[in-house]
Amino acid sequence: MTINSLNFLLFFVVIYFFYNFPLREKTTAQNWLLLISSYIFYGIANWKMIPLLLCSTLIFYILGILISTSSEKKSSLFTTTGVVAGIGLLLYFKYLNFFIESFSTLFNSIGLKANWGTFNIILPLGISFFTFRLISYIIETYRGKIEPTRDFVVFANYIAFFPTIISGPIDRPNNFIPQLEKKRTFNYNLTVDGFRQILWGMFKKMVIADNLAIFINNTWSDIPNQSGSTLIITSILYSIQMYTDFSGYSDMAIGVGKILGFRITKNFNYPFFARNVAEYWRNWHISLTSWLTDYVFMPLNVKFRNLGKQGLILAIVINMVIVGLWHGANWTYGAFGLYHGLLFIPLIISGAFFKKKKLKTTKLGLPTLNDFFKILGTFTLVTIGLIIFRSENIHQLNNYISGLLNLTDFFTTTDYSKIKPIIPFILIMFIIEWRKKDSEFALSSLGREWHFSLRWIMYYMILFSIFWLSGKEQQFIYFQF
Amino acid sequence: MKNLIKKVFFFSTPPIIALISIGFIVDGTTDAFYIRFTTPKQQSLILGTSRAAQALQPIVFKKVLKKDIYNYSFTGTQSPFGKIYYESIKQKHNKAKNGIFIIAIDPWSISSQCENPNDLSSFRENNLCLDNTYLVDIKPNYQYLYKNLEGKYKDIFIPPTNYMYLHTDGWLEIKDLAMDSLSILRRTDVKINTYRNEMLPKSKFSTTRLLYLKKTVSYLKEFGEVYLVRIPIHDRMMQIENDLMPNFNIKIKEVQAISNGYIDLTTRNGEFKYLDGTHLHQDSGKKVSIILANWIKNQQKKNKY
Amino acid sequence: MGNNETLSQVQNIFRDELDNENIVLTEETTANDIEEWDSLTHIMLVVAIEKHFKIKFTSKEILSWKNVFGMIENITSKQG
Repeated sequence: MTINSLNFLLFFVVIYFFYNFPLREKTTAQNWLLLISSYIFYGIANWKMIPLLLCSTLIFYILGILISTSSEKKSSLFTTTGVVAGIGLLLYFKYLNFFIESFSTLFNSIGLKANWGTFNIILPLGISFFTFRLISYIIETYRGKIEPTRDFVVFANYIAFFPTIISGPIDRPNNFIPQLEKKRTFNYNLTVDGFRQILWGMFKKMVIADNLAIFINNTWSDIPNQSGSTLIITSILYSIQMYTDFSGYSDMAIGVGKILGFRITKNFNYPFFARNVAEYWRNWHISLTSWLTDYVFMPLNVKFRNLGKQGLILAIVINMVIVGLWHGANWTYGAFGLYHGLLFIPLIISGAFFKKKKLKTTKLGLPTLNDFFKILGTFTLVTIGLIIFRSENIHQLNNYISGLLNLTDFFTTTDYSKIKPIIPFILIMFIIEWRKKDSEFALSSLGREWHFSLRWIMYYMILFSIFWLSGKEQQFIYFQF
Repeated sequence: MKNLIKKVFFFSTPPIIALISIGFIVDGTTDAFYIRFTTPKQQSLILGTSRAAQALQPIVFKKVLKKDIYNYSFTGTQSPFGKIYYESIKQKHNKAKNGIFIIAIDPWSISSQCENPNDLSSFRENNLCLDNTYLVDIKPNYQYLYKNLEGKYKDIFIPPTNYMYLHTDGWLEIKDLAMDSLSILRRTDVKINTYRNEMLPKSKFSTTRLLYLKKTVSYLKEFGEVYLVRIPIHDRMMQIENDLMPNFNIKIKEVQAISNGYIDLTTRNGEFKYLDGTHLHQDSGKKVSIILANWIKNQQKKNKY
Repeated sequence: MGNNETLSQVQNIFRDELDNENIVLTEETTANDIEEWDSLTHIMLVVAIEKHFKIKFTSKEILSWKNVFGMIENITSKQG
């Protein structure tokens, strides 16, 4: 069940009742409640994979304790074993068939017969997310940044926490485990902030993303018959869909966490206002990119530190290719990563990569002309990258790009009737997010200085737009990651 | 905490009231099915697909047969014969005796378009309104609205089309469609092409569906008289149906045997006017209803002796 | 070399590499306290420190420093 469903609402109301009334401030009991709920939640989606989740949790829990109590040599061995096991798990479920097919194709293309069948592997929901939590735990323990927990319920909650298990954000143990260990007292402001964040997330996902999806899917299913202008517009809308879909779902997950008294890590920080690709990646799917930065990029960087700028470039490119491939088993994901990695090169050479200047606005609250063009340029580069991302193969990518550039019948329109009502909402969303880009999320501070009745009217209007316009339930794009 | 509960309560009250009142605004212009789930259980039923939904008018039958009869037909996608329609019919019937049941049959409603035409789990009506609406006689029917109108709530306030109205007796009235020969031809061409090029190649006779048709007839026979009818269609559609099932009348012989009679009105296809080759214009539908009602009356007289 | 001497040399390296003459380091200083000190500039600092003190750190050491004190400890232990 997804967070924006009636079933989830009922599920959550029941949990919340027990969490706050009989079990109020009884941390251990609350943790048991959360754990059982998380496993029920996961089981409803995917009960066959519960043994996998439970066993891997148990193994890594034990590893954590072993790492912190063993000698340097042994703990190094345990850590390596854990990391390899975690990555192995991910490789097996997500990429094995891809490897088999790719090697088959490769062997066939050079004349060697290879008819290897692929396995019937069912992808466990959320595997790309919870394996990363497991790996992060043992690395942080090994590096001495955290003490492994002796409370299995706490640890199991960290791995399986239901708001975030299916699609993140990916919390680090440093931030999350202490929150599970200490007493959580009812916090009115945090709870209400959580509601606001859920509302905003629902708006972005259900009003904008789900409606764009239908149009975009239609275009992509019939690329050769689309005009250049349609393909360009579709690519822009796809970037918007990706953002509203994923940041919307993250907002909902974080909001639910807040209502339970947890501060889940941020996942998006207005990435489309970025002035270069480096800034974009610091603000897009932050929990993933920071994970890879800490565990892939930094170690590579340290290894290559004597190669100067070339070392840095190499580390970035490898890192970005992995970012791409994390999304799925397809060469186009790797190409997407490579594309972005290469875009970093001019930034590194010019030194812009290292600068993190805050975005300043003019007196009217608008960006400076310089910044405006940088934002537009970055958005364009990102949009091109997303065309690569969404292509299923080189053939389709080629069709799309050549279709884009085809000047014949360039302006022929397609049926935009389903999209037209959504455009005003997209504009409203961007304007609100621009005005509130210093807030954790846009709706957090919007209207706080107004009279409560006005603010409530705004919330009702948002609710109404969700009711009126919510598109057919679109399978959340990041679901099978 | 008390503060939060108060706030949540006050904040949610207006939307909840609004949602509840929506149930009272939905009517026959919202969609082609809702009304049928809001009327009480019925003694007599008209069953079949959209041909029956649009052609067979309960008012006519009431006049001739002196009985209230309810049109519980849907579409070729929602209500072909199968477990789902069968169970829903059982739900809609009020278990009273002496009912009259008119079942419109055609090759499509005993065919499937899936790989295995007898595989219940891949039937086209799965997860649609007859499958997911548990209570079929409650007004307002929030369960139906929640499960089937998702994404289309604006249709409640702004009718999606001006051509359709679902009456409280289950008759789906189609009106104001352009009836000049060019418009009719255009609509017919589209329909015929879809059936011939997309549906015919994939359709296969389903013994499971025939079985459920039989089950439906047997079940309803406990509660009254069951009559079978093949509603007239345009000859162009007739050709396609003959291609699909040239021996249709033979195939349904066992079902005919346990019914109170079967009338094949496709012998009179040319006498009627169609909107699009498969649905009768309401005037012709009225005519067909009269013919059928009188035929039933005759059957009843015959069966008395 | 005493810790204070090491600290002041490291402070100079920070000031040079991060282009900020106002940086003041204590043993408790962490990356959170200095705006310019992030994961990227961290590497630059490491390279500069290694060059200046003519030592080599291991990856584990570099990635395990929690604050300046950790850095100093490693530096002095390597100088013998």
